Amino acid sequence: MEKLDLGLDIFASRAIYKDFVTGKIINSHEMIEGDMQPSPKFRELVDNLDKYRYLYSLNGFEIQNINNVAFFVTRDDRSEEYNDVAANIQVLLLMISRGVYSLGVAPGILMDESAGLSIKQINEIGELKEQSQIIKACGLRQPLIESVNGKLLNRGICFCTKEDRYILSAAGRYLLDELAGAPGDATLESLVNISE
Amino acid sequence: MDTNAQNTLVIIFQHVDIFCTMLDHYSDRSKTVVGFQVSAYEAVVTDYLEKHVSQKTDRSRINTALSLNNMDECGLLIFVDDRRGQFALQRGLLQTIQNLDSKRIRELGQPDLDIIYAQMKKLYDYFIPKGRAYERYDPTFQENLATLIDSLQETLTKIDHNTRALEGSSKRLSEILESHDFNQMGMSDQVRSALDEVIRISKRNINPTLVFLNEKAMAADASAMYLIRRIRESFERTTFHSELATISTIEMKLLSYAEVIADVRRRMHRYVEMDRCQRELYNNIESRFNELYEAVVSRLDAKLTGKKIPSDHVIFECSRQFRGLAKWNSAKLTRSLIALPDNTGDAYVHEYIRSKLDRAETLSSRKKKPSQKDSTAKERYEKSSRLKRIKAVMLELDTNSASDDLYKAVHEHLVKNLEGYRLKDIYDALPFVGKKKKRINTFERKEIIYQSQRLSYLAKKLEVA
Repeated sequence: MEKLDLGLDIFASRAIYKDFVTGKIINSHEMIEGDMQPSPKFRELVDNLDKYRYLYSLNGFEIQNINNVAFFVTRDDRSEEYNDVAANIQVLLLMISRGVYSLGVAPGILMDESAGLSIKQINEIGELKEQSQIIKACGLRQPLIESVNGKLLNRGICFCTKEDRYILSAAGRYLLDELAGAPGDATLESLVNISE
Repeated sequence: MDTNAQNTLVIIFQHVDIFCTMLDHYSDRSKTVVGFQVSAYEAVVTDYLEKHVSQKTDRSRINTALSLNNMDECGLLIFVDDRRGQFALQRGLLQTIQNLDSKRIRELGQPDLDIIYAQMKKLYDYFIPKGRAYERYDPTFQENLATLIDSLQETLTKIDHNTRALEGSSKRLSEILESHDFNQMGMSDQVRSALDEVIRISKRNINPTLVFLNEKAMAADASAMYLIRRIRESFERTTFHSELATISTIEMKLLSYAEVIADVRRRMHRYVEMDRCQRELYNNIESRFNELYEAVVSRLDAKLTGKKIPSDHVIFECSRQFRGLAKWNSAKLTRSLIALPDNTGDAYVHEYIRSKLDRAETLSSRKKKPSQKDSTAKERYEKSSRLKRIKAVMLELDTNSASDDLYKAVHEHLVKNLEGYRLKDIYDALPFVGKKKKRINTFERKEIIYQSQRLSYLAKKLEVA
């Protein structure tokens, strides 16, 4: 068989496949050895996006772009079926961002890699009365950290720092900005920029 | 023991907060007293000493130094009126204290600016209708001119003081706010109050003062600066040169403060803006959360266990970009999902359907095993007694003979000793081979043929463990 060189990074390509197939979002930055660093997978995807789009389309996948800061794959033929994950992610983010205020903490804590929410704080949020009702109604699990690990951490919506604290990824920030208002309104991003 | 004037002054400035508190007290418009009330002053001194000075001897020393008698003896008071219970500090001393006070902003909120505007409007209404036909020796004109100059000078002093106070405040508040990392922790009370103060100053002092001093606002009739400019213009081409020069100088100075205040405003603005963003963010998140919570509550049933909200509900619209995110590695998802290439004719479709049909036929032709009937009690008894016999026979097996081929040794042993032996009895006998020796699997295939039955197996050896 003739060897076809597409000019792709074989290692990054495998890592990308692993993430995509396991339903994980590839963010522009990721936790590498405890530090937030530019993602090599994201770089590879951006550099060869057309090739990857074509390759994945052969297998029936479509690469989705989130605001140029993250990627994941969907299937056209199943687009109507798998909306639960997205809905759960939204619910969790909304509960956590609201819970942050209830704990008397500034929302910027979700963005700062030197800060982040602890497991205890996340579980405390899950135990708030309103939050616990929502968790039940949306079929999520208690303690809240279990749902966060399953729906946010494993999906690349948030990262866990080396101090075991949870911060939002680029995709997570994007979704929270969507929740916080229309573009141009107050966003966590603008809030961080001001306070820097 | 009384203190001399020099030491008294030192103590006054060491504890200048006492007088600042008094100035705050009298900055309230409802107080019309000239000077300070003795009782109010003494109460402030006592309170201050209790809070700030721990040593009893120090308290007594400061109290004596700051007593009205001592200050009067040192010549620091204009008067002490015991009958009315009032006193006044020397004007110079009071002004120095006021100027030292960079923390407090007084005199120039929107109401104060409105008062200045009212004064200017009154003077404007007097001077402008005259159309520059001023009579130098007209007593009313002279009185109004004196009032104009006084008012302008007073306004300049107020703006000057306030500008410095605003600068001082903004610096102090910036220091507090800069020391706080807004991302990490909840705000401390100090930071929260500093932020509140910034917002208050910004709303009540900086913005009105900027509007007051804004040159662009001069075009509007409502601006005091506009009135001042018109009055100044009305003195041009008249013989009141020195008055015109004074008015022009004050006007220019006032306008120059606009830049200083604008600087302060810029410094404060980031905090005000941050607070605005934070509130807006909170409001948006709160309203989204309430929508979600209402949707949950509306689905609560009688047992309060709740029902699942469908994922295509309108409240999940924000996460639409994430729809379709799923794990694709489960066989359930991928098995039936052969994506046929587009525009390649029917060949792939036919091949796909053919493979499906083959599979369907295989499935339909696969024979089902007949269900095993339950064995009778007699059969179960026979099986059990046979096993007992096999076990008894196997106890006599010499394991040394099985060192090369376990199956063969067992077979030969059973052939000799077990009545009615069949080849498949080997399987029942194997568990009774002693455990003292270790069984080693080999890849050597062997066969045993007995009574027209054949057993094919991979040879096992027994070795000493």
